[in-house]
Amino acid sequence: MAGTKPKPAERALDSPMVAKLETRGRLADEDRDALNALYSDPREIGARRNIIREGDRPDHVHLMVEGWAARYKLLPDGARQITAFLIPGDFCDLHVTILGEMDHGITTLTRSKVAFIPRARMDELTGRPSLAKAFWWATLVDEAVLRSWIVNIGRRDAFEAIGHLICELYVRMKNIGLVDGGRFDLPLTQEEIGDALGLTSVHVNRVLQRLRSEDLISFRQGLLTIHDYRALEKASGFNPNYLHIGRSE
Amino acid sequence: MIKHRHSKLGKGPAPLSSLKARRAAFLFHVYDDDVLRDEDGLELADAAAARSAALAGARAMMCDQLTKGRLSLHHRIEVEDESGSPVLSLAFGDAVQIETGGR
Repeated sequence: MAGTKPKPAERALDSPMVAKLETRGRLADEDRDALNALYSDPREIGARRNIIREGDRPDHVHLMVEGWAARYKLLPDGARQITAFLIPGDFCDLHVTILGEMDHGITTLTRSKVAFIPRARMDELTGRPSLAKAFWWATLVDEAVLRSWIVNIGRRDAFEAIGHLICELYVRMKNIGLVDGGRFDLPLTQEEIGDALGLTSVHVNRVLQRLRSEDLISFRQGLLTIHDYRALEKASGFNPNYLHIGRSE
Repeated sequence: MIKHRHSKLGKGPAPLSSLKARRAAFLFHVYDDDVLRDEDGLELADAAAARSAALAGARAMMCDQLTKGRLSLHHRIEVEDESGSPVLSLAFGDAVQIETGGR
């Protein structure tokens, strides 16, 4: 497979956050500029490092600029449940300026760039009604994603759940311009997919082989290709309505 | 422009265990209704960890079967190391204790 790197977003000057928020509707130029400015000075964080821990009271809101991260809870026996995957353009902890203390941890999964946005700057941004509404929309979509994960874990079998997760990540990556002809970076291990869905690694492995043998996907070296999106959508009962694309006002 | 980085599939998964030593890849071929060869493998510490993973996997797959009203104790998982040498073969039936008797 040659040239497998996804192309950058069409409007390369806009940050992933702008691309994501504009799936809801166009932002005013000044709002777009204010959001793009958040990306000016991100910090590099290595793979599998905590961005923030349960119990932390951060002075900053963290915004994913590059790379993948995950929300997680650790159980007393050391088992881990991942409750969200975070990709460029996602806020890690927008709510913590209101809630005060983290009730879960966030770890990078890959080498990442993360913007640290001071609370005062966030207050300034959320003081604009248009951005306050856009951030509220993003929070509501995060909640909708969480609802879909509950359904995934509670009511879908392993094949459907993994297919559903792949469809969801495909649409989210497409929103920020990181899908190229059905291909996108999916830098997740089988264990991380299992931790998100409550499955064992071997079971995840088995389902991925089946998705492959049915010619729905291929997945090599962290690069996922969807060969038949409609069929995958159908097999996993995926309906992207909960991502609320293009539903402004 | 956003350049997206990714790590190789199967690299050490847990965020809190980055201190772990070098891990070997094991392939888990599942022989159920189809024969599906594992092309990815899992990186695990040693053969004992591979055995634990196979046990957990077999039990989970049996749970999936049971919710659909069947149980195939003859299905099995065959584990190979990176070089293709067999490490273990585990029948689903050997991953659980089966009790059928009365009291």
